[in-house]
Amino acid sequence: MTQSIVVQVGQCGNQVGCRFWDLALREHAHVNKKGIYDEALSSFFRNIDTRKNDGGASQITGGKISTLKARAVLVDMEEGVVNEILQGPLREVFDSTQLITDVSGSGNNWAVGHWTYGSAYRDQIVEQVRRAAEHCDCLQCFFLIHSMGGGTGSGLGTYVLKLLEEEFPEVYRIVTSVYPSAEDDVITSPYNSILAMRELTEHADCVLPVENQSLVDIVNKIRHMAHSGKGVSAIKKDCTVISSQGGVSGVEKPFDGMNNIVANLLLNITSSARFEGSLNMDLNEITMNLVPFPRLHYLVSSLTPLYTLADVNIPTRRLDQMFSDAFSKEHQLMRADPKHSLYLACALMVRGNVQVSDLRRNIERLKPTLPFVSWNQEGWKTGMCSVPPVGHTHALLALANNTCVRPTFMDLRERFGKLYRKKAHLHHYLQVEGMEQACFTEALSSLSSLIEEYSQLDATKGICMPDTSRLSIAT
Amino acid sequence: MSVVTVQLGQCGNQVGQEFFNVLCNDSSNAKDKHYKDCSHERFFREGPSQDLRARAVLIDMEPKVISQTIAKAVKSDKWRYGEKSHFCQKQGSGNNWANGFSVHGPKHEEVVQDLVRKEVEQCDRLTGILTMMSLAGGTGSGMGTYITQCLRDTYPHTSILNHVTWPYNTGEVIVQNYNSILTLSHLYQFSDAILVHENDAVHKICAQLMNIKHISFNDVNKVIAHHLGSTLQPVYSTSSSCYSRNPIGEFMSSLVNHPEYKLLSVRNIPQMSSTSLAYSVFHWPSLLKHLRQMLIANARMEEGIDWAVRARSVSISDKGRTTREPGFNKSLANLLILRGKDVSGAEIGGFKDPALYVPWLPVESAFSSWSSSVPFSGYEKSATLVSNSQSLLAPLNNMVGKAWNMFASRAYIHQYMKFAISEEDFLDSFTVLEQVISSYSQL
Amino acid sequence: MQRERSVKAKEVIEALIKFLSVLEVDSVPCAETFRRAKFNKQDVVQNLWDLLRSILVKAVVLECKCQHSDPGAQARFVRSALWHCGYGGRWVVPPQADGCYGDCGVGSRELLLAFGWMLSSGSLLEFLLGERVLQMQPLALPPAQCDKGKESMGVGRGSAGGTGDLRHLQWEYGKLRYQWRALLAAQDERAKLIHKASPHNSSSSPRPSLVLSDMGSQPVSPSTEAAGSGDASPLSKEMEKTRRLNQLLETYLQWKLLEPLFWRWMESVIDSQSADQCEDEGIAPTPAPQGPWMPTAVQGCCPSGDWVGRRRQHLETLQLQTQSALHTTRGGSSFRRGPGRQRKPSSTDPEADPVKQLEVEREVTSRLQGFSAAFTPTSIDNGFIPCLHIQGTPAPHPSHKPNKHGPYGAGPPGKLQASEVIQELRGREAFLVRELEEARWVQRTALRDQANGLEGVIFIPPPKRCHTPP
Repeated sequence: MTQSIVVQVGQCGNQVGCRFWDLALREHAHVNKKGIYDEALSSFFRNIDTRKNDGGASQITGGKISTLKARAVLVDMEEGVVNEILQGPLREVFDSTQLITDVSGSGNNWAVGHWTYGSAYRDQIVEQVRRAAEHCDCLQCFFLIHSMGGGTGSGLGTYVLKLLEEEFPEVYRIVTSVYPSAEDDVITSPYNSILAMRELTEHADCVLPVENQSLVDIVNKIRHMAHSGKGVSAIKKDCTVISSQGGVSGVEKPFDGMNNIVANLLLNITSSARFEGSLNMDLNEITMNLVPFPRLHYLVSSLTPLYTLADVNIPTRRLDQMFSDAFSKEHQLMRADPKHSLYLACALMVRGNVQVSDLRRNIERLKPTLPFVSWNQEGWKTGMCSVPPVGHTHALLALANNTCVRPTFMDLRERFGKLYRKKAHLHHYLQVEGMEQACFTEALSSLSSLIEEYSQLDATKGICMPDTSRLSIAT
Repeated sequence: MSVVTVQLGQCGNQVGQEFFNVLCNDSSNAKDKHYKDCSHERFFREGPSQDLRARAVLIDMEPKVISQTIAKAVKSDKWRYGEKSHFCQKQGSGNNWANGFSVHGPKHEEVVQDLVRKEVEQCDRLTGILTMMSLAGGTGSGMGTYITQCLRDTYPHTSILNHVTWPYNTGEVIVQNYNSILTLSHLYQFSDAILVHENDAVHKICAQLMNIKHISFNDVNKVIAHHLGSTLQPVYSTSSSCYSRNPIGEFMSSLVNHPEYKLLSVRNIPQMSSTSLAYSVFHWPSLLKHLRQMLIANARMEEGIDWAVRARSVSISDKGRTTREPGFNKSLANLLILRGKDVSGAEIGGFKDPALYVPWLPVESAFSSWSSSVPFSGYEKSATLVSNSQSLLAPLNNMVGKAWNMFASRAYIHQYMKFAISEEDFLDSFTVLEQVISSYSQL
Repeated sequence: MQRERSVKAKEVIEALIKFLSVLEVDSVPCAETFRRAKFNKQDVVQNLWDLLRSILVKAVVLECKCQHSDPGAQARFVRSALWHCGYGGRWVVPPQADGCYGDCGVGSRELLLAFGWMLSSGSLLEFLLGERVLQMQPLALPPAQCDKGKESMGVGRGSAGGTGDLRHLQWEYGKLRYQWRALLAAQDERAKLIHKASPHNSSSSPRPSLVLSDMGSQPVSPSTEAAGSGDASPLSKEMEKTRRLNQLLETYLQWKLLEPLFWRWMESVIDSQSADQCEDEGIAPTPAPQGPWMPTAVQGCCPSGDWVGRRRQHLETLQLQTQSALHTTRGGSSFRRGPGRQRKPSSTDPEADPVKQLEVEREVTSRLQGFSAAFTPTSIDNGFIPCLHIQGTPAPHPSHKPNKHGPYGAGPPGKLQASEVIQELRGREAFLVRELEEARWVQRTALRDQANGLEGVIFIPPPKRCHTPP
């Protein structure tokens, strides 16, 4: 069994990460009733015996759970969020040695996060990550969680990403990036996002972009359903992707609903690697199947169902609905419409009581409605995990490599252009050591070429491409 | 006269486990003692407490499936796998053929060879090696290919039968066509025969014949295991009065003597859910009539056969030009295996029709039939037809076409180049398979 | 429990039967015959006569003139052959000088016991196995078949034309390749089986194992290679031979595995025999065997595993036999003469004629010598039934004139004490050894004298022996 390390950077990264650990504990507690430290638990947690003074060496699987420690490195350049975690119910799962904090913050400046704090904390970060890696039996993947708009998350986050690539070139780097809304209160967020985008394009194995606005919409939708629902369509209590019920943190905080969605995304993406299933989907299969060209590794995700209805007597139709929803605009974690863009590849990761025939039936049903690139008409990857998420009988995570990410990127580029033409706030960046004007132009051209690559592919949509002539055998 | 099975990857291990289940259930329920003994000797050895141990080696690059497979076998309470006959690592091949072939294969070659050798040493006589894997994944296909090469080197005189599970047309692994063409083209050079089961065809059997509503991989694997069992369980070969002592060798020399034609497909009749089976009566003439039409019309099951297709290699149209009979599946060689009541009375003349076969091979070379009066797996009568025919031509052509299309845009190639599989390697594979396609088309 | 045992016994006997049939012993009866014979059923008597006959024919490699159709001749042959093998069952002992046996019917159990005795005495089965393996050596493959094969290929070529021709050839070539592989695999299996079988063999008789290991070391006969270039048919014939050989070895191993059970079963046959005899004769059953042929030593052990025990048994048997012979020669009064003998002049009282007595004694001793020679391992090289080489006859042809030796074998089994016999035999042995050495001394002196008389020849005596008389 492989292990993964979560690296959470910045305020947003740590808040999402916090929700992730909470829900992960809830999920494992739900599945693992005997309190045995099993293989599945080992993928994100270490089990240490605090009574022994052996430097916190991890125990092998199969024994009783004594103290679980998250395989995580928490980085923030302010103390607020991290301190909150240390005072909260989750403090048990983190060691103080897993935290890297500063007091002054990055001032929403990518350059400060990336260059100033990057060079200052480089050794400490490498040291922490290395220690976490040494506790792993077979480290497969880093999950980096950060936001794109701020200074620490985007600046230092992408610096950490580069570090990980340098230090652990063999280990996969899956990045969850929270993109700012258009009405973001951080004025420099377009700068930060574009500068970070370049790093993501060049150094990540794949990126799961999540837009703040989509999360808000989903949360609102669920709340609306929960209040208006009556009779058969009533939502089963606390069975939504935004619910924290059952976790160790009692009080729900303002952004918890949104963060829970992202946490569920991470739980589902790793479920097949952690639990048994009739068709396993390991983490390294994600990039293999969904990234046809190295730079085009932005995967749009959707989680369905968003909630489970109280009435359990309408299974088949609801199962099919789950598949249909996964492709609808409303369920995407980005404001994008995959159905009207071009699919390069698509992965369906189902959990719970779903059979291969359900999967096949729905693929056959949905396939005609979805445009796929000519050379990958059958571009479906499926994974089946037998353990459903807590509170659900089944769930589906769809990951799509789709040209629908293009509008978001173009939008970002436009907002960037508006600021950049006025050279607004530019001096704040340029005064940081290591930062040059060229960084902006290079980041911009990197994004433009990315957009261009998606556009070229998108342009083939609907055009009947003739098959390339095959090799012929002289007879 | 034993067979050592090597199960590779998730699919190989799951199918393998079902396969041994079918074998064990069938032979322990058989009333004929010789049949039972022969089957047991062929596929099992005796464990420390007189229990049955499958002559199998389990290989995967990640531990979950192997532990599941072993546990399932133990749960059957009838047989189990050898204590130390499995090997797994922590991290899978990630659907990347190149990773399995260039990294995992060479790295673990020695361990795997060792496991296989230990199993082989426990056979009084090795009649063949059966490998089981999927074409689509990374470990089964990539490492399976590498291991087949190694086994060929180590056991140059032993017949190697590769059982491959052909992926669903869509939706298992996106790079399945790449992985498949790399696997098939390499296997074509090292294996003796490639026995293919297409998931799509088997899935249909589950849905239409077995009447399963929610088909799981278990159901699919069970049907595959049933086919394999009905092919490989003990049987009298032509003009012999005892169970074949060299089953895999005889299997090969009936079907795959020509180096350009190694693709085998299996048809089995009847197949139904156990509830319908209890109320059904079978007659040899009808079974064989259906099976023959399944062969010539290239149907995988007895339902929905096109009865209009005739066995005619060449028909003369009104303009005097020769055209191929549309839909006719021409065979190079067929092996008919009959099991159950009154086998001796079954009339198999329909399969000796020269019109079914190529003109350059006499019917007596092209057709063989084996039989056993012991009923298989609860079917009073059943017939299995293994054929080296054009039936896999269309799926292969389709698969090569899709892979070629993808290759033309160079999509995903970088993932393979990471593990030392270059564009040239791809081109070589395409060449080999285009040759195979051309050979089969010209039958 | 009882039932289980009988099932087991059936399995054992079946293994034996299977082995005998692959050894190509004729008229092997079914398992049921054995069971019925155990209970002395009359209906299987003929089957057992047939079995004994065919085994004896095979074992002593004799041309049996007797036919199936002539039960009398067959019985005579079996009796005399058994007699010559040293079997001392009452019914084989020719009671009269003219070789006529009492017409009292021999029960099937008696025959079964004789069969058991044959298996237990020496390495009968191993001997037969060795012979059979020799016969089946895949050496003799006429190379002429290759040409024939090519011709038949030519026919196929004629029928197909164009590219089909080449593809057909490729197909046939592929077929050959698989057959070649199959042959290799079979050879491989043979080597393994021989390896397994040889320990069983070497323990009882070195000769067959020698044959086996010879075979094992032989890779592939050259004729096979020649055949490979031609047609499949010689290959498949070769294959068939190897296959049959393997089957033979396998059945042998199977039998060896079950053999101890067989002896346990035979014991039960003996038990029932003794029980019956007790009833018949009204004597209390004694632990001692009723016939000289099956001493108690056999109990519960696999004879082949207990070489020494078996030898001892045999010697004991012989002692008893000899003793009865002595009885005959010495105490003529206690000897009940048969009708044939009565016709001979009654004046020839052995005791009254010292010359004759001496002659008889010498014959007995020579026979004894033969016995002891027979039971040293080296002599077993000559075949499984050492008794055939008594008196150093190179080609024994005893079958139809058993009465030649009548006087020594006739008579009922002795009732003397074994210790007495042993003492007697030891005395005889010492006497004979002395005699031998004397003769040797005389010969050597004569030789020396002769050599000394020749010019240029120097006689060098052999190294001193401990028994050299002064």
